[in-house]
Amino acid sequence: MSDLDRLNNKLAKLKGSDEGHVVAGVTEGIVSVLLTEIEETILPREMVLTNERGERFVLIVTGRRLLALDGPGVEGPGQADGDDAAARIVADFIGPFRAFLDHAREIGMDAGRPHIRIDPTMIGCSVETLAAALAGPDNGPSADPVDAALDLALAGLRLAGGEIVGRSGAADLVARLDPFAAAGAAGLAQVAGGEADAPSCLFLSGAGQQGMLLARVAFRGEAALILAPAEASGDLIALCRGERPETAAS
Amino acid sequence: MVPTERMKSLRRSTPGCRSLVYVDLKARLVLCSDSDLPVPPQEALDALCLRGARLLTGSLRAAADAALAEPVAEAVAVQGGRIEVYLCTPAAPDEALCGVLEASADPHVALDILRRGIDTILPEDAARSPADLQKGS
Repeated sequence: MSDLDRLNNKLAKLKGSDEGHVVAGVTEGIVSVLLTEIEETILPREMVLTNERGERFVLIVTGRRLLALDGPGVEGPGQADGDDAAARIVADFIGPFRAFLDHAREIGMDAGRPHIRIDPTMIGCSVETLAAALAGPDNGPSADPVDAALDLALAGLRLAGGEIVGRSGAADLVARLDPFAAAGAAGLAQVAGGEADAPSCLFLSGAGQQGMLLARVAFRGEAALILAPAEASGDLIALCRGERPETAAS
Repeated sequence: MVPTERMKSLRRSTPGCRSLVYVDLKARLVLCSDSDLPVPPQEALDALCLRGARLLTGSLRAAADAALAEPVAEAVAVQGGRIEVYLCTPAAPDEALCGVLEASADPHVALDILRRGIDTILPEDAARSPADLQKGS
């Protein structure tokens, strides 16, 4: 199955149709699919979304970034670059483009090679920035996922450069984390890998769903090594998806 | 149904699951796999297997068992829109199921389905030698 077939199938499933044309009402699902697609797109690609009136939005994507967005209500490309370009793409995405998805009764999707030459110096906008903007200022990611992870913990260690720089929580559990930091934390970091600008989370748990989980949350050179209730797994995953944990939002 | 068909069935019934590999942790060997990628690169599946082996065996595993005060059975990794899940096979301590989920997938839903399906990949009465598995017997 080609990438285009896969994307169209996803959209069709989201809208409950088998014919590639879909019924509106689940904007969030389409946005989620598009963000996933942008995240997975390396080579230059043009995505065209068309509504029942023939209005079109064109997204130019390459290198896991949205480089350009054009359609009704969007100003011309202009000369903005860097942060300005990202800010304008975000504004167009959450403004005219989202309104286009909200108001469409049917949406057709097509994708292929771009009809324009892609300027390799264009920076565009990352999925993380788009996701954070879509979440809104009141639902955005925590300023520091490491702090947020420690807030969820029964006990935790704060690590910087592999060294323990802080301890918190129940003393008996901290006493379990200390030897793990010496014997296992480096291995955990090796498996988790690391992109300095994106939070990462890796957690281990036993067979029982009522027990604890051992987690490492890392961001920008710092990490939290924590023991947390099993129920915290959803919040930990949300932290690394740029979402606000439910417990923090309440 | 041979193991590869059971893997395909399990992956397809797991929402958002892109790749699934059943591995021998000691041998660090992919025993069988299924993926929705047109041509899944074996190197990517091998790397997934290796990460599973690093998490679920050796000194890291021993240290984690001690910290949790129970044996590690599962692991989830989330980074940059990529989600990976790892599950030890209850009936075979040296085997595990490793999966790659798409960014929008719910790992809890996936884990629940994979937990229920992991023992069906290789039923207890089937041979467990890597050679047999790779032949799809």
